[in-house]
Amino acid sequence: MSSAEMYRILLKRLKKAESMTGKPLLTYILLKYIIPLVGLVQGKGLKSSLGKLGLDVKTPTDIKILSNDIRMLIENFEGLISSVEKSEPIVWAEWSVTWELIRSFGVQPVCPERAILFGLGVNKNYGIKFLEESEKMGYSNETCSCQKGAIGAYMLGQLPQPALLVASSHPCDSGVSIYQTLQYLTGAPLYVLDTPYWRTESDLKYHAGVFRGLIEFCEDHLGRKFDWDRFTAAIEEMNRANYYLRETCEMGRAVPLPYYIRKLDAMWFSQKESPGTSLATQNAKMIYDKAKKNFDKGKGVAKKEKIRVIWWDVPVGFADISSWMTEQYGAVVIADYIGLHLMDQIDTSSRESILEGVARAHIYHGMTRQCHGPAEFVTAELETLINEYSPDCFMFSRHVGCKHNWAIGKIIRDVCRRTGLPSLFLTTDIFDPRLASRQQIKQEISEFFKAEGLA
Amino acid sequence: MTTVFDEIGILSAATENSVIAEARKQGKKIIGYFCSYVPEEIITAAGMVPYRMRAVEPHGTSRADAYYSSMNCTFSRSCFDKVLNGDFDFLDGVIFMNNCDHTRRMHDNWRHSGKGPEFIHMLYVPHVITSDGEGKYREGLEKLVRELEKHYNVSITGTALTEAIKLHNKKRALLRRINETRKSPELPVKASEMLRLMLSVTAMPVEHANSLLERFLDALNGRNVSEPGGMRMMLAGGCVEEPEHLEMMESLGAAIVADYICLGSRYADRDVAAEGAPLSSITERYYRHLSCPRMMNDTRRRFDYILDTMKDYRARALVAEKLKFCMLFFGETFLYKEESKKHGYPLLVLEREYGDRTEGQQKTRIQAFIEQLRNFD
Ligand code: SF4
Ligand code: SF4
Repeated sequence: MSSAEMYRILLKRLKKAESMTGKPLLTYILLKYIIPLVGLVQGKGLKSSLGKLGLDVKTPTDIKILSNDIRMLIENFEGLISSVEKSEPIVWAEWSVTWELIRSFGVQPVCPERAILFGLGVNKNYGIKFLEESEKMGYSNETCSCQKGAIGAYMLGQLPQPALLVASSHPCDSGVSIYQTLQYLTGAPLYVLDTPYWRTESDLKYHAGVFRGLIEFCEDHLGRKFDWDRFTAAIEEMNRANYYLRETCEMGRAVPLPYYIRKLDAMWFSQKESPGTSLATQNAKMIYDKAKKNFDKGKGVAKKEKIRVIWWDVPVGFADISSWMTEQYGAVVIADYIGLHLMDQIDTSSRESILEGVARAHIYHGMTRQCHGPAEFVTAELETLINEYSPDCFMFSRHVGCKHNWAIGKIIRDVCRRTGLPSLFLTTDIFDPRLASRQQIKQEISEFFKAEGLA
Repeated sequence: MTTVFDEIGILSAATENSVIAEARKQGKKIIGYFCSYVPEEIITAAGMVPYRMRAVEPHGTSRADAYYSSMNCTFSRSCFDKVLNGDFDFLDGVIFMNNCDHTRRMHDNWRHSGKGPEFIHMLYVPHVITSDGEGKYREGLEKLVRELEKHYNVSITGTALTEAIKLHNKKRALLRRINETRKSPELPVKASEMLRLMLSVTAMPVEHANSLLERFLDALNGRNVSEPGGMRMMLAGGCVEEPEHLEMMESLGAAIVADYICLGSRYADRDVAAEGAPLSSITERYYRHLSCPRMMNDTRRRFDYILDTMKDYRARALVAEKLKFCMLFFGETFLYKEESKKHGYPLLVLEREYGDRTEGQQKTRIQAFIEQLRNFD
């Protein structure tokens, strides 16, 4: 298969989905009334795959958000396929690296960690093959599936050859290690966004310099000029989206909860892969408007909210556990690592202030924010949620790759104990259902709710 | 008569050896540190004794498991178990660096446990080698100096740093000379003895370490510990600190003549420049010394070091070790496999737990590997 085959398969499907979601009201009527009535198989498939993606399609607004998400993916996939076809350079950018910076060179980025998600999107076996391929090469179960997936996808020709790699030194050792491996295997030059341990002014200045270095590195290696105007405009647009997202998260204090966490999780991807686009901002605004409307009316997203959950670590990527919890138990997830958006507005008055703002945003990006420094960065966020967001329980998904999280079990447990919050410590892998399947995770959660008298 | 080899046997086996105990009696403060990125010179210049953290005399991991989990490496868990057991109560301070996810979290767990000492410091070291990174590392060292001075009410002067540099350079030079002797076909020292030596000299005042190293070097004169048919090999890995584990390999016919381990030749790599501002020279040496897998833009240099060293020491094969759940050395050993294919050297990768809990299995693999090498000869 050619290196963009997976993206081509998905692009076809996305276009089909786009044509179905292009008219939100019509699609809403279709999904809500016609499909259940006549049991349209294809429609059912769409509904369930949308559900799996966490893109609950309960209202025309949800469908519009979904339609925008699809459009953003289509644009990214088309950009990627076109770059492959025209032999244009492609830059691999790790999870936490904002794409707009790369795009401001007129170059298409791709996130290698997402390959497994897209592989699973083609079908389960297709994605699992990526994992099996890396395991055949010696990658073990103890490593993170996103990263194993990247290696497997590349070896199977599913990730296009990169011109450059851009990685970050945090959140974890897995990233530190895998990017050296990817560099070795691809032979492409690697730039590391060295992420400081602390968050002092001096650390932020250093980190801003690291971003300046990235621009120079890309200019040297791509032989292209950085387009500051394009970048500045994108940052301004990103600011608008981040404003709505932050405001939405602030409303998480309300009981009942006015937003769906999966929508905020999806925005973590959009803000990384389509940042600074009007579609991302539109989605952020729609999520905000909907939450605000609920908030003003004192209405929640669950029909009857019974349990408020803090989900710690990354969400499970292969199963929409949060929507299931809501439907089954009236349980709502207040926040998780990536759905809690705490980005400050970036000052665009000068290039310096932009770089400082981008550096700060990188450190405060969900996942890097909780994992790059001492345990206090974790506990401070957790305690704020406990004190201000009225949770009933805590669930720690403990993704197998996040060894730093596994290493502070007692510290977390003690926070829960001190605040009287029942806690569940799971063992999961973000994209590998072989470690803990959807069914197993659901069962553990059900037992926990029952044991704690929450359900 | 007790030989220097007996001496290091006793010194290396103890968490708090007799030299450290004596130094404490004389009022010296003992500062534990993790990692080859923490400059011992700064501790020495503060009038204190640098003590490289270790997990010798382990008690298992059960206490530490309450803090960590089964997904964390057994070196960190064994070491932290000792913290909880009070084995390190003799320390007056501890300096961490953000080396890996497991030990950086020990900085958190140790503070959370409430087990002293009061001074528990984290030195931030960038994950890349760049000129900005060097500035950042220097800033971290300046902060460390300030905090040591403030906490212990001492003054770390330029003169004291220069003096400490001389002493530690001498220590490194002696270690390099000892290592050089392993190039000889008649091996004067075993790897297990080298490890005992390293464990000893990283847990005592530098002056004492230097005199021990001089005696050790003298004792190597005319010594030959080569076994007939011993297979010359290089050892690579991170937290390898059990001499018994190396003895097991030696008993199977492995002659480990060179290494790339934290408590090995990496420690003695390069001197601190004697001229120039002492803190700048310390910064330069420690930041740019032979790196470990945490440094993301130095992979090729590490691999070249292994290739060159194998050649220099006429090592026939590479044995690479990693502890389970260690991501940094997982990636590195994964790439050794590619390197070994590319450069045609035989490679054995061992995954194990701290304290050799899987020794039976290891033995069989090492034996088979040596057999294979012999069959090729
Ligand atoms: S490998 Fe590097 S970071 Fe890890 S313990 Fe050794 S010197 Fe420290
Ligand atoms: S073995 Fe690896 S994970 Fe364990 S302390 Fe050493 S570098 Fe860290």
